[in-house]
Amino acid sequence: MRKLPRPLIALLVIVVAYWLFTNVVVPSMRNIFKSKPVVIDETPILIKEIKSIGQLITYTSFDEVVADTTIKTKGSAFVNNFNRITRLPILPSADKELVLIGRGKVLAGSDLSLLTDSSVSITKDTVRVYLPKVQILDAILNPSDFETFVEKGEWTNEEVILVKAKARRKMIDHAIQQNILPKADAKAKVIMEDFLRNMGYKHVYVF
Amino acid sequence: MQKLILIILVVLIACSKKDKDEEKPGILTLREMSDLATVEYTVTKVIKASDNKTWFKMGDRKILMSCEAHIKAGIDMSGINENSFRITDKNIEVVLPQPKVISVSIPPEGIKTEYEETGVFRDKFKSQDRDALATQAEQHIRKSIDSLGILNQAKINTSMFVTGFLKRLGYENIVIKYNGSFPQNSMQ
Repeated sequence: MRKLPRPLIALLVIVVAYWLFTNVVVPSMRNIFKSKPVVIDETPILIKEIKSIGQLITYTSFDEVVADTTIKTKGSAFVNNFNRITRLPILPSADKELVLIGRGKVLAGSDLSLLTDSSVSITKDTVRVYLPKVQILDAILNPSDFETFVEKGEWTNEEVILVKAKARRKMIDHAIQQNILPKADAKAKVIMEDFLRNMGYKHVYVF
Repeated sequence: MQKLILIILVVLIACSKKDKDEEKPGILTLREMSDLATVEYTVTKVIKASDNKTWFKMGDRKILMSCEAHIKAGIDMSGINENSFRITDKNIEVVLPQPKVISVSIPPEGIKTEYEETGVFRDKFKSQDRDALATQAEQHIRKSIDSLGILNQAKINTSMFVTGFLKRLGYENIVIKYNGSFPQNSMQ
């Protein structure tokens, strides 16, 4: 077997040593002063309720919203007065501030569980269906959908829920502004018409 | 020597970093759907965590939270076409698509802090910390969906729902099947 030249071996050894130093030694030294992630314990999932529903979801709006709230604390008045006297904001604000970015979705459609016997009428090959009015069926903002942009002060769970509820309302408002309801209504009618036509009805009227 | 070089190269390639972060959908828009949700599960989970693994932080902090999730399942109506029906007089046989999970929702008001203990030298859990713990719970719930039996229940509920609708249309003998499975429900 042909021997490799010594300079090449030396170069290879240097490359490997450099790689080990930068990828193994340095990160492990850095990790010494890094906080360990908090991992939740494995706990069982309990089924609380099983509900029969009949929601025809016809439109989804994916959105990103920002919700923020500032709450005055006991120290806020003192800091504000002090800064007013000095005319320069020497002391930092004592207000609590929370700014959240939420990326979620709004589902719209018709609740078909509201269909009654009078909602459907048939005459030979003609069928008429009166669909329940479309509505916002769900607005989903899960914990993983939130990003905390600013968090100043101590925020209780209840206070955070209020800010998140604000984000949820904003998301629904955006969806309504984008005409999700008329679009969901039109799509619900198309789905029902297709379903009935596929069954063989020649004249289908969906209201 | 050549073998040694080859082994080193393989090790270097195998140990190279791979940064694959889970990305959120980049396009925020309205999207058409055709999902019929027929079952909703409400599940609960206790979130238990102790922050005492970092050696340089004096004292520990513990938190106990509870969360409630709503999982909806049903079928995609776009999978139904004219070949899905077999009709003879008042008898009808329908082949529906296999059920799927439609949505998982953990509303903020469903997450509650039940107990919190913070050492003298530690900061309290921030909103961001609580969200990170709830996100882990969300992932646990998503992973456990199969074991909850929601898809089987969705089949039962969808069969009941479609049967009820077809009865309103005047059919008497209704057989519901799912793509690639045996009849789920038959009503005489």
